[in-house]
Amino acid sequence: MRLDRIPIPPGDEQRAWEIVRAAFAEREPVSWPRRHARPIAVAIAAAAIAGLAASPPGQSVIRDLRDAIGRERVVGVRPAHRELVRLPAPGRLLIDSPRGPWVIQANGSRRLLGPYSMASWSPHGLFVAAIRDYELYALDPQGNVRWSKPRKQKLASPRWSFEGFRIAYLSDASLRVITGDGVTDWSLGAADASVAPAWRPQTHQVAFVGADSAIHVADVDARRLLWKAPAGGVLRLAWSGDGRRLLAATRRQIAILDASGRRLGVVLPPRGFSLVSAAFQPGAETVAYAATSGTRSRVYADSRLVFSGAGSFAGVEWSPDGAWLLIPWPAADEWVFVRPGLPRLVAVAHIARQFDPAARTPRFPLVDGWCCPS
Amino acid sequence: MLGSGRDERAWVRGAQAGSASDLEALFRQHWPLAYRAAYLVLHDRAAAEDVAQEAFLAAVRALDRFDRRRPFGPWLHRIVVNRAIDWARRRELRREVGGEALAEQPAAPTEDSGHELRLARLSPDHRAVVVLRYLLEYTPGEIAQLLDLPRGTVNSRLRRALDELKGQLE
Repeated sequence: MRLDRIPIPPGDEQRAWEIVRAAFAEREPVSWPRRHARPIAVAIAAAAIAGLAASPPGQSVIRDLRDAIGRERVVGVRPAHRELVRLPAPGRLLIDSPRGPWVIQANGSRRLLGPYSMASWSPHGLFVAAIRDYELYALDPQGNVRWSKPRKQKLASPRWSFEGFRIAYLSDASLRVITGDGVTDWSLGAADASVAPAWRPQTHQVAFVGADSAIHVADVDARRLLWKAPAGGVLRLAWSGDGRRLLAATRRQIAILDASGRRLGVVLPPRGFSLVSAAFQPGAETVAYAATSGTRSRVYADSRLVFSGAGSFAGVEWSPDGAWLLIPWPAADEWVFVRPGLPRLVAVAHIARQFDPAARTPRFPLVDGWCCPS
Repeated sequence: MLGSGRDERAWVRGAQAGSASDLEALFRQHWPLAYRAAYLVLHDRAAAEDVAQEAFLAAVRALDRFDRRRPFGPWLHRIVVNRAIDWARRRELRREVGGEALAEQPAAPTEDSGHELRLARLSPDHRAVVVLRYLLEYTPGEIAQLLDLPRGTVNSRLRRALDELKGQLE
């Protein structure tokens, strides 16, 4: 076997070069003192550690020196709130932290639901579906277990239907559906477990990515496939609020399909940028998306740039009233709330520490959903 | 076309000074090898493209700290192979909830596809040392440095990987 006999798909190298070139164009060249700061700072740090490590001021000095020797850190929006004291729009947030899912009320109060993951809201925010090990749970927002369903395989991405009577979830290599009371459970066929299923509003039709990478839409109750559309590399599926449009985002484009699978249009990220996530605005057909060039990221709503920053964003989430966008920004350890079309922006810093307070190196949480007002 | 060590040092120096054409020269020389190495560890073309691209982005971010007296290739291969191993491990975890769906459609058979398939049956850690040793032609000592492993671990992984490949041939 020779390495040069392994074919490279046409266009891959050029596509990668465009992204690398864009990242290079946006990088800030570092001057001599900073390029050589590492060994100097290491020497200073060694002295500091010897004398000061045990004391709290010493810890502070070491932290500053660590920053000086090149740990990647992005300065976020300034000024930023030091603590999340309230959400800028009505509704409740569900987030996934290393300690489990948290429910955050509009007034900023929060509750840890327990050691679960991959949580999602029921349609009116009355319940939360979540996973623990090999078991699917229905919880109330206080964390009390309503029912649970053990299975033999690992589970992922539970999603409630519009009225709460069905939950679609991924188990092993298949999409399954369970009734909202946890009693009846059936398979809808092979599926790609890395993409969450998406219920079409006001119906018992569910969109998912099949094992063939195509987009499938199935009638859950009739247990039959309604249509499928060829696709590859889908990251996310989402229906518009009226159920007339289906969004399928890949790294390179957002395809907009109608309810019968016909392609209506495509949204492309800027040249050199890859898509991270996309979402329909509630009550509208406006699409917001986050895209990254590797060193820089941008969020667009209705094709207008609404926010940009260094590093990567972890997605984009509309408020239930469709007025605000939440942009999780791990590199800056911030959540940024922006109001598309208006010069309104609220930033909250120290997000990882707020939801993983006991950890030595807290991990930045994922946003699982921003649901209906209580 | 492979550039000489002197060319490469000049490209690194130019790229550090902000020259996109020098960066492109580095990219054109090293990206195909990075992609192929990632592909052999991952056996997934889309993932290999992502890993090779991420490795170059990481290299761009760290370019100012790169010591240009050192060769660029091993530095990049270290990033590629470590990221490919991480990716493969994450995929192994995901496979528990649907790995069949994540597998790439098989490509048309080629002269080398038998070797590729046998390699794909090894664990990611074993695949990585085989790719580094027999395709990128690093010595076990260099592999130990690249992967931050004891040399004995590299040797034992190589031996086990070869035993496994031999078993597959039998």
